[in-house]
Amino acid sequence: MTATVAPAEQRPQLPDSVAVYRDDGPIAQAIGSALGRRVPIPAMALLLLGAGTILALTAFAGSDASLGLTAAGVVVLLLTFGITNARYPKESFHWAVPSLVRIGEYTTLAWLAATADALPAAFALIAALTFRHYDLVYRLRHRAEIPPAWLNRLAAGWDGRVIIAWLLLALGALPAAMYVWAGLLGAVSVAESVVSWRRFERSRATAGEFDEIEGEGE
Amino acid sequence: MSDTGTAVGGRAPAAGAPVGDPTAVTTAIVTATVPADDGSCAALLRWEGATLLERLLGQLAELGIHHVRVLVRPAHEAAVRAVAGDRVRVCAATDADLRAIAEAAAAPGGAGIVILPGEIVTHREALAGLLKDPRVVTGTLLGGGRRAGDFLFRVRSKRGRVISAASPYHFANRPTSAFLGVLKVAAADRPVLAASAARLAELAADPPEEWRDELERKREMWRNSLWRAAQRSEEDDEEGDGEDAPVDEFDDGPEEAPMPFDVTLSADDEQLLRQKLAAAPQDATALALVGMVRSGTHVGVTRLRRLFWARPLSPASAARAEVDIRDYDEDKVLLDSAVKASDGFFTTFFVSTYSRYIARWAAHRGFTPNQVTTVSLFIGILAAAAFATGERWGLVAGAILLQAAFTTDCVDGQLARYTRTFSKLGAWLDSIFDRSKEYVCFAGLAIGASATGDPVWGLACAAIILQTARHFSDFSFGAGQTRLIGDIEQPPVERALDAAAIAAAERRAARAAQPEPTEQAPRPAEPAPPQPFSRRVLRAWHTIDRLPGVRWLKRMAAFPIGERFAAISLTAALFDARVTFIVLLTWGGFAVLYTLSGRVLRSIAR
Repeated sequence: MTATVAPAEQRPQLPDSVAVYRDDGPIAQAIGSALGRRVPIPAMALLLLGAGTILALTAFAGSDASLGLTAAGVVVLLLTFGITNARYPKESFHWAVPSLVRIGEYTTLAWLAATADALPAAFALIAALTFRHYDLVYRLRHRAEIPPAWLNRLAAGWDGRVIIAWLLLALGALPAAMYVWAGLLGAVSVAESVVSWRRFERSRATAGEFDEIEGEGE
Repeated sequence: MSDTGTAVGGRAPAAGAPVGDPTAVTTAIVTATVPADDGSCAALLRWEGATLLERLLGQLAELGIHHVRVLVRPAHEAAVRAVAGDRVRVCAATDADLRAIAEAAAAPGGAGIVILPGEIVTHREALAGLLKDPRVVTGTLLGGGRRAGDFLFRVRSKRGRVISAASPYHFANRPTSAFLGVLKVAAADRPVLAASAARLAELAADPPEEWRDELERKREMWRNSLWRAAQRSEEDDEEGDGEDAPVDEFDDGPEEAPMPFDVTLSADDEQLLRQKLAAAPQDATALALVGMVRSGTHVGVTRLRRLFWARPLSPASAARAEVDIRDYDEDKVLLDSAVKASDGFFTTFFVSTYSRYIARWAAHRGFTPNQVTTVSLFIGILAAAAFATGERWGLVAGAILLQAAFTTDCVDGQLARYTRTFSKLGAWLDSIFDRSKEYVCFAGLAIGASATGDPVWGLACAAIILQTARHFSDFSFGAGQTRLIGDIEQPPVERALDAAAIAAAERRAARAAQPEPTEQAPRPAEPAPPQPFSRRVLRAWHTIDRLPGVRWLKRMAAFPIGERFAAISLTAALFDARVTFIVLLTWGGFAVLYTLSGRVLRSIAR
């Protein structure tokens, strides 16, 4: 008997945090598995290209962008980020991935809304999404869990959300539909969180990893 | 036991443990095996008319730990039995101690176990800080700078986890803290303790050569540090300074510079060294810790902070501890310790200075941290509503309310640490409500600005995107660092050296194996391997931390929550929402560049 007893099986296996924080939907996964291995561009370059394109379009075309240009922006984002679904950059740069995905997604939502003069609705949607995304982080940190599959399907992933936002824009349904969407998404996310916390507090069966992020403490 | 009776605000610790709490501790193994200077049992040194052991057993009972085993050497059995009764268990030597620990850990059922030496003197609250903290599943009590005469071993910890521990026979590379003898093992980790202690027992019965060499090396190291401490205190005496000047971290490295000449210690120090050397191989607790760490178990960290700790090995040092511990205002120390050490500049100097007294008031009124957190959210929503008016009075009222919300937010954490009512739900509420308050205020400011004919929704969107992206970079970077620590491959307990020291030794061996340069050219002493640029920059970056104020400047540059809320309040009250968002975006953008460059450098350097 050696003293190196693997304690891994006693602790809940933490899902890969980068994959959870990315919040990819089925479309991004499909793009990733279809094109991931075939495009010989480094993952970090793709992520920077996608986020950079959206930021540039937002800055230069802004609220005057045509429907066609917004469609092009959405496609670029889907392709560049989608391919990286299956391919990550070098491990020491993993920390940059979730931030870039969030910047790409949120900026696209804000830009699409801006072309229909619906920025307040975009703010509402982004605020509702921040609840979901912070909840992903804190749930993993405090309870070593991810949200249930039905909630993830409902949230549709960043890929689903930019497509829905563009469809709403094309249908001329902004801002009203975006407000409704933000309200529903926010309400369902908060309600699910409250219910799952009550369940967790009642059972308290597992001890998840509890590590404070030192220094920042936020 | 006067000092143990003064619980904070008369709070009595919960007797026993809540059912199903995976971190509850109900069993203690007390090692009363270390000899005092006169050969008697150190745990039986006198303390306020009783003994150190009785004091400790009393503290453990107050913490709800009623299953106690006291390990004792045959020579001291009768004396310890007079104090501990049938809880005594006779162990002939350290290997028997470790076997007893392994047996206790392997016993079916039961909750967590705490292993600690019978002769330690500390506040009950220091023990409670480790034993009653549900966030520390399996963990240790660690302290900062100790004096050369202290009898303890050192550990290296990172991100709240012990990654290497020293024992009489084990070496910890670049230690960061002192192991204060208390090891808590959660129920889930008991099988690991049972296996590793059994293995250590086999080895301790006949220490392998590598272990004996390490003990020999420690003798020299202790001799040198006692000598250095003596030199220092002589200098200090000339300056009329106290003898309690703490000694820096020991230069606990294998390449320690040789001492300039033969070191001669004073008679007292020689005696101290002999005692430490006699006591060291008896330290089953330190060995048990090494066993847990080397098994790859997540061993968490609780800090002593500013509470008192001593491990007397002579009547004189026990008497000194008895006097010293009286100087501690336990409640004040606990309150000061409730303030987070890693907070930003604004929080530390403008909020925590008074919020701790609100925390104490809330504790005495019986408020829970979660109640305070919820109140804080409501004040934050009120602030957002005031901002949403867009009027001057509303902006000023919102600014004041936001500061009130932030103060309450600091209070909840301090209250939780002060009363040790930690919960996962509380941590989640605190984090998620902080984000909510901030973004609700963004919305309020933007609504107010629109009402006065200056729509700033684009800026508001930019601010929320920037802040969320910053947080996600922090989360992911932190998760990556934590994973990196978990990936350290721990060498088996047979090895005296830890993972880092073994790697360093292999690097040295590889360098030595390279062909020697030509004989006539005198080799420069130890040519340092060329450092990559990124590492050199990082080293310089850490070096300037020693300059006064630099640490705080760096924390401010990262634009933490206190600074953000202060910036929102000030700019909103004095100017308007547009200025607020521009300041948030500018400072936040600068913080991105600042943290990004550090992280990119670190990622390249790896």
